[in-house]
Amino acid sequence: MGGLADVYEMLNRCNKCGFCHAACKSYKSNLGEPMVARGRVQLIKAVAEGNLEPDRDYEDAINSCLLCGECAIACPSGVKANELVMAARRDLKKKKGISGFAKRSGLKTLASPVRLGLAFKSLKTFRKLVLNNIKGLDNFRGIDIKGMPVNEKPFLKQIPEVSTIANPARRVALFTGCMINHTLDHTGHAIILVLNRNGCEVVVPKAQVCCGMPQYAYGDFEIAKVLAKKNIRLIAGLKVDAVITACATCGSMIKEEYPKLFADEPDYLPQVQEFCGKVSEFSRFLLDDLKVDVSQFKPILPVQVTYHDPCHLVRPQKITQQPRELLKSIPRLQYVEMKEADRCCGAAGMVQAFFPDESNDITRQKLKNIEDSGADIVVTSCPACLHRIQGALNLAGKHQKVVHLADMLAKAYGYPSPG
Amino acid sequence: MLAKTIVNRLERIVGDKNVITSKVALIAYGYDATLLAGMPVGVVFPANTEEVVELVKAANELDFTLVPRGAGTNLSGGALGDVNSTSVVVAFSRMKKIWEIDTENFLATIEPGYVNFEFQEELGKKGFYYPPDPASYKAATMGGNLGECSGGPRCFKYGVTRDYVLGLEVVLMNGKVIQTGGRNFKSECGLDLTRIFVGAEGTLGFITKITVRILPLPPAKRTMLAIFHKAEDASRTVADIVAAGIVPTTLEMMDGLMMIIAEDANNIGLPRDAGALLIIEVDGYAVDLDGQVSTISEICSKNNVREFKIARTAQEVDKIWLARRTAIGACGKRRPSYSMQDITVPRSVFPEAVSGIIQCASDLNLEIGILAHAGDGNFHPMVLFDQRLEDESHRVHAAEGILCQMALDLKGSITGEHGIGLLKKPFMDKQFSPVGLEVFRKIKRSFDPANRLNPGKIIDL
Amino acid sequence: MSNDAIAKLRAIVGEQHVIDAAPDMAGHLKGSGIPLAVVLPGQTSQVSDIVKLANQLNLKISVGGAVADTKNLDGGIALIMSRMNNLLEIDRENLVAHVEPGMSHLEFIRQAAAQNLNFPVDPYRFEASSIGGCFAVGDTDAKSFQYGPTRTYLLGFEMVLPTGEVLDIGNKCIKNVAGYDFIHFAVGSQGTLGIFTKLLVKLLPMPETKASVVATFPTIKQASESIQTLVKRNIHPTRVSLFSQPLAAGIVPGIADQLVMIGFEGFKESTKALTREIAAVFSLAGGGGVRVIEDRAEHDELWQKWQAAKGRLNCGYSTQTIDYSVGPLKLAKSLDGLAGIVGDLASWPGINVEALLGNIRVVLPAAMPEEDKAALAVKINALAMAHGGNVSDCLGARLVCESYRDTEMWETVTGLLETIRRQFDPQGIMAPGVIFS
Repeated sequence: MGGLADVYEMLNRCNKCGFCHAACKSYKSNLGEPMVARGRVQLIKAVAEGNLEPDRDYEDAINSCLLCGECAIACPSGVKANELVMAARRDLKKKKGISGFAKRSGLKTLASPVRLGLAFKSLKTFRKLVLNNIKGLDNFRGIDIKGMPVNEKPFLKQIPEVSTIANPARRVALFTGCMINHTLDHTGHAIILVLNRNGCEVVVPKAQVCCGMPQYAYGDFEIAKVLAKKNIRLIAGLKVDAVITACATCGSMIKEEYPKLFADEPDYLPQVQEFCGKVSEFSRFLLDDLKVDVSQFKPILPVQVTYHDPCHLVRPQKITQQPRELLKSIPRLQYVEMKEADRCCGAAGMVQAFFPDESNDITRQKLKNIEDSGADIVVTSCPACLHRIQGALNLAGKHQKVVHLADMLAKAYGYPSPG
Repeated sequence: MLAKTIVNRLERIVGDKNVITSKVALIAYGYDATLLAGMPVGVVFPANTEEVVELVKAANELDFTLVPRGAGTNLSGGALGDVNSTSVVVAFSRMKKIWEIDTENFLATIEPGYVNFEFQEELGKKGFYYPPDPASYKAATMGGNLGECSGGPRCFKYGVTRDYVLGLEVVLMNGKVIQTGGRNFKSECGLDLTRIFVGAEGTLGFITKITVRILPLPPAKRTMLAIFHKAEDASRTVADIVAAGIVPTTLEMMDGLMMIIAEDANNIGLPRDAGALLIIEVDGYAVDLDGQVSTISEICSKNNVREFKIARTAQEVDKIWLARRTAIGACGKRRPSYSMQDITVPRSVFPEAVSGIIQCASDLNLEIGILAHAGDGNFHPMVLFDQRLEDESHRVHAAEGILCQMALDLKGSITGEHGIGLLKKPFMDKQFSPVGLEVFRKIKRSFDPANRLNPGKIIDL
Repeated sequence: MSNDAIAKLRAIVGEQHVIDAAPDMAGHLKGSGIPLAVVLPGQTSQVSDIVKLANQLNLKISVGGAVADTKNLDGGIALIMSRMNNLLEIDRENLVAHVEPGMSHLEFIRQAAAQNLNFPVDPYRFEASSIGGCFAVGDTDAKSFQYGPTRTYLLGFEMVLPTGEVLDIGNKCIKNVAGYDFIHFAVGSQGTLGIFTKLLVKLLPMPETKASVVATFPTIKQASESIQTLVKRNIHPTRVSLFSQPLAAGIVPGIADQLVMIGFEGFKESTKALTREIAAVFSLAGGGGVRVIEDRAEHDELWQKWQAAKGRLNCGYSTQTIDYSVGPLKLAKSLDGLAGIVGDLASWPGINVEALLGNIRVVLPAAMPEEDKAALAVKINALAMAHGGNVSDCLGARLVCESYRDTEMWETVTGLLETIRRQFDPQGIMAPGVIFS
């Protein structure tokens, strides 16, 4: 049975009741049994039992999973189909390697800070020279390649290693993640401003690398471990009280998944756990640890605001109240709850590139919910969600803006909003 | 392997994208919610009635069999490919349109692939609902409900699927389309053709449109929880409630073992030493409910109820229902596999059925938790096991036979909601005489003499 | 040949239970056909033997509870079930009854009521209906909105099939999906699929209370609009009936206006509130003689008269009436449309409306020629279809197909019905007067 032996217990517990049909978002858009949690589980089980040789259709089935985790909650028997999909991808990687030149390249690029920097530079150039001069070439498979912001300079190159203040009560590290680094520098600045404002000295280690989630998600534990060890070693040397993340995906990776990544290295595990113990999501840290004084928030111009729960924040990390509480504390901000706020935005990392029909259908549903809510601003805590939703809004010609929670809070502290 | 000529023909009918023959698809469409399997040789996804007609013609001309499928949550093997592996599964997931929801005239017309739960949500927006809501309603389709004549917890008061179907559009196996019934109760032509399709488990014709009765949501509802020291007390309570002339909307029972299983899994505050619990609901005009609630309360007291709660808020209602809603999941957490049985007995022998199930569990050394729609004598014994253990699986199979025989000995039925499909076929000759079985064959012959539609389900020709 | 047949019949049921003298037969027959004999079986085995004999000798059989239809029955057997009229069991715990088909429908209701149980289906022909006939005809009575139609109340039966075998199917369980639903399919089959010899009937607890509201209105339009108001207000009584004056006079002698009768079977508190609300609505709408009837005896007497009136209407069903349904909230408009077709409704022999079912029955003048009836039916069907409904039953099914010029569907339906009938009755001996088209 190979690598799937570890999860066979869980595979066996699927009773095929089909209740996951109601929760699985990829099923809602595709309506095919191989694209629903139950179907994936049964196919993985067939592979585990030697009744199915992984082929292209099998790979499509398990690679089209959004890993949004809704199935895990809905399953009455506690089968976590998302975890089984991860195990299946790991198994595939070990058996056949990562298939698809585009995917392999993408993963390689994300794993290397140098290559990633070059990739974003090339995108900027390509846009200036080609895309912006051709009408109608707005999107690649539903991804707004024209509109997605790219920083002039990576954020990590814009700021000092330590942003200090007088008499800091705490010293924290900021793990930015690739997206804030390359596309949302103002968000990075906002995070530092807010933390400084609340008594934190902020260390932003310049040598930080990709959290490893993309590689991990496609079963490449080897590269993911290399990246993880780099980050862990780097931050361990900083002697900080906490490691702050403002990207839901990175946060879920470095806090929840790193221990699983190193489950087979029991000697290294204690260091991992010490690291993970310090990781804290930005909004949770502000409210629960720093207990920020929300009366310090200044009023903003009245606007209707809603919040989109990133999959990686609501389900593995279970952080939903803190962002909302912070938003509702901003004077003159009218908070409206949208329908299915925790429904996947459709990005799911590389799924949006390889399964555009599915992703676009899911994003369309998110846009509909935003429209129905009446909100003008959508706040979220994940740069990937942010770009996905904003890109879709742009392409649909809609006016709503998607803003990171940190930027919203910076505004509430009276700092000018970015351009 | 599906012949190229057939694949080509299918692709011409529904489009390339909507014919799949990959190994992955055949595996995915070769199971349902039972332990049985039956791989088809192809799967097609028609978009409308016309395509279904062409599929039937193709099946007749090129001689292959067809199996209709909704969401595949079937509990009797009804949607599996036939044993000779010549079946093309006709999946209705693309046919899920709402043709109309007419609240003024208490009806709606929908396509078979529409999920029951989504239908309820849509109706809820207009203050209406569709009473038959089986436990699987979040995934199961209206077409599937029709094929099995699904029930749900509300049956005692509100009836089952057959009571709510006003008319159908059906594609017959000769390729012709008929409308049965209509938009009111008085549209059947001669014989009640609508009724023969309900519960026919997809063996008499392809349902392509369903017109159902819908009702306004009841103005008020009251939810109660009663926990008893002994299961017999709960059974007597059910009988007494009925004798008092009350027709509750819901009368769900969980036995002591089921409560332990639920409590072990989820820590919701259920006692681990009780005999049974009842969830009782009455609905209607608010002014009529107080009287019923106090009568029920008195009856429970009379029968030595150990704990009796009346929900006062929506949260309290949810809390009462939590035990029942998490019951199946609790089984899944305790042992990897569960077999959800389905038998019915007359209400008067409810206590004997409870004892019988407990006896069966003891005799076969299996854990069987009891869930029941107590008002209609419909039991869902939950047999827990691990499907990887051959010996245990054999005992589960034996339990099925014993429980069906017990139901028949108590003058009940081998299936109340899940249907015969493949699973209960071996017991058909125990519930029906040769004359009865021949009646069923006459019906099948009338509609599908060539036996190309879902052959081998319910009965063999 | 016929003497031989009569002798064999006498051997099965006994001398005195085979009647072949015309004057003695007449009381058991309706219609102008002349059967070979009237036969009164006393038990299932006799019915089975009679059917087998009929197959051997190729004799047709028409069944009745007390009276059999003789259409197309010349030389056949009129099988009268009146001797098999026992109430075998009332099972209060399971809310079911086992009854033989020949028992009077009204008597069955009374016996159930004596045990505080409710058999809600109204008799098709008042005192002439048998319980077997009730399920053989399977009418959708006026209470169907609240209680469901007739088929809801059959859980099983013993039946002699057209080839003579005895079928026993069903049980006391409310939910039973084993095999095909032949149990409910047989309701309304009018004897074509077999002869009921025992019925397992579902009962309900007696409702807490019964009450009525009556009112008269000068015009049918006013009457229908006011009852439509009730439906708009989400009030769903058990029966909501409108009778035009000629029919109303059969219920309330001397009445000069249109009669509206509202019946409630339900709970005390809500019924009290609703009857008063309805009375207020009717008064405001110009109703005369608006009364709430809470006295049980008066209520029962009123609805007995109603049942008798319905029985008279049903007697003439299909030959003297045209029956159609539209949605409950389209009633008033469709009646306007009807007046557009037939002229002043008040001048017609009778209009009966069952508002919750959206059902309207028009009584035709006795002297109306068949072609005119047929032409009128086509017009009324078009009217009904314009309001989302259709003329009832087989006639309606045919008219709908014809309105779409869909001869193919009509042929398919009738072909299918014929196929089913032949499967069960290869020699075609059962219910010769029943033609599905």
